[in-house]
Amino acid sequence: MANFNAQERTIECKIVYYGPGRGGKTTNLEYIYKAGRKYTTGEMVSIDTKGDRTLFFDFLPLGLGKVRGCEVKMQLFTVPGQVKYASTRKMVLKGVDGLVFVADSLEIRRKANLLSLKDLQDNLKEEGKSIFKMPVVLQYNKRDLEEAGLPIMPVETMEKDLNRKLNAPSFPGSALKGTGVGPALKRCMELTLKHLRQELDWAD
Amino acid sequence: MPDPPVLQGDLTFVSLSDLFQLLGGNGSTGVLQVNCPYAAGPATVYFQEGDPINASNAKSKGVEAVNALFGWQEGTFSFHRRPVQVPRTIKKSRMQIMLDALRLLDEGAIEKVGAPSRTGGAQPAGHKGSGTVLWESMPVIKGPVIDYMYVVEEELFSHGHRVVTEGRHGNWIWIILEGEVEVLRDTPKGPVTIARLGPGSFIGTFMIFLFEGGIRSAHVSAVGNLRLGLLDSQRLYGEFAKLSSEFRTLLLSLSRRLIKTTDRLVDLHCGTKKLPFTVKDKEIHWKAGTKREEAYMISSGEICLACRTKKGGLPLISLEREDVFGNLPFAHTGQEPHDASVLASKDLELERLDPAGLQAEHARLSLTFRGLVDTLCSSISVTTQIARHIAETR
Repeated sequence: MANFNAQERTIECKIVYYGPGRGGKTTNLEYIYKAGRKYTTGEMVSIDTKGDRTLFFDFLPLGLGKVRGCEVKMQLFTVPGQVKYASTRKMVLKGVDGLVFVADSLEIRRKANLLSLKDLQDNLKEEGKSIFKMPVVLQYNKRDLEEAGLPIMPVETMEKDLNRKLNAPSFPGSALKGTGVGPALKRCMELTLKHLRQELDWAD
Repeated sequence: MPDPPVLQGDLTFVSLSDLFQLLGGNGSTGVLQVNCPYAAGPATVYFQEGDPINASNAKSKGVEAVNALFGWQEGTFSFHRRPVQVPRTIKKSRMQIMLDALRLLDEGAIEKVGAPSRTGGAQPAGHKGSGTVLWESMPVIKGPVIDYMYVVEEELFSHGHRVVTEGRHGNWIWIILEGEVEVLRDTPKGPVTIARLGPGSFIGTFMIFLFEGGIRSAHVSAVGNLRLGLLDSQRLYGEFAKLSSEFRTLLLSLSRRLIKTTDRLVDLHCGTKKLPFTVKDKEIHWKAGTKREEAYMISSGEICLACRTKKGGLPLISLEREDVFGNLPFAHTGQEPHDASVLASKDLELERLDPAGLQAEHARLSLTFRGLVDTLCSSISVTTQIARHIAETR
């Protein structure tokens, strides 16, 4: 649930990057932090969690306009994939407003994508939320690996695997090269604000 | 006179990360105090414009003291708004501290501190006692602070001295000032250690307030040198008499619950198959883990509590007329509503209690009375855990 800070007249929303370990969540956020330096406030927090890193920073999406005269601030997070990081995951997912699910396009990671999505669904359920009623976008990451001759899944297969029931906007991309990163985040922020407006009945 | 807190609450309701985010989001400046009954002492965190800049607890200072706080599973906090004039020893940002501390907690580098039922039994006992130990990782139950107001006399005992004998009469209560005791029961298989108590815990329960209640239900022996404080019985009676009848009923019911849970533990240890109550005629009333928040007193009929184990449900104890069950935030027994299901007989009739009223009355209790409630609930919780352990391993 977004946080309204009366003192600073800002609305803080939380967007979480979720997905299988080594799928590119961190690379996504690092790219956004570097490319969108003028929109970020403060440092990027990076915590070394086994097999992954947990990242956090604040992002001010100027292009999205104000809501009722308030600046909108996005808190961007990644979640450590390993099961044992339950407390971190719980804190990060608590009150999440929007999700970017970063799926790995490598054929060999097909099962890992499915398990992670299921895991996300279960973790949201624990927070009393349904993945079907939340702003979610999918990113099919590592499309660039095709050029390197590595076997990757066709987008249609990934759509069928991950997005058949979810029916969320999806973006092929490469976090390493920065393609598809901006559009996925932008769409997620738009959906998040739209959802908040509906939920809080803010007619603009 | 210190200034009143501008924010206070319970860590089981508002987690430390929520609290840090709230204080951070508001850019608050002031002092946060956190108390946990299971920690060595209170902790203080200084906030400057929303960021923690300095902290200390009984064992550590700076960021280490803040990290340790994330392991506190329960406790209370209060925030006082005031200018802060301490040096900045913590340089990390709020979010970095939180994410780092939670990672350390998940990796097991930060100790979880709380009731044994919440932490999975930390602090294994240091001394070896005289009975068969039912569970190697049995925790020592300790109390938060020692209130000397009720202590009328101090008594010293040496290792192995039997302080209390099972079946004998005695209507007084001691508080452990220094040292440890083991609580033992005689069984057909020889004496077994059912609990270990340390400083701040009490020997004796509310059963002493009953006319026929002064029969000791277990042996208590000193482990190492022991210093006990004998409590002023008159004063205890006086406070007990002033409680509401619901609260008195609750305290007596909890005391009976401990005896029944211990009886069940002994039966499990001895392999006795016959239960002292029936389960077949009962239906599920509350499922373990329910989010229900009510509490009831039984007017007629019977309920049975069954806890979850890796090998399936384990019928634990039965509760009858005048017994209390439900969700009481100050009484973590490791049983219902979180960790045990409630099965009810068809003729069950209940009287609804007011948990908020009971909670308020609990908050008004003297330190000694609150400590007695804590020792009692922790003992039930540990006994339940050992019973579950036996059921799972045998």
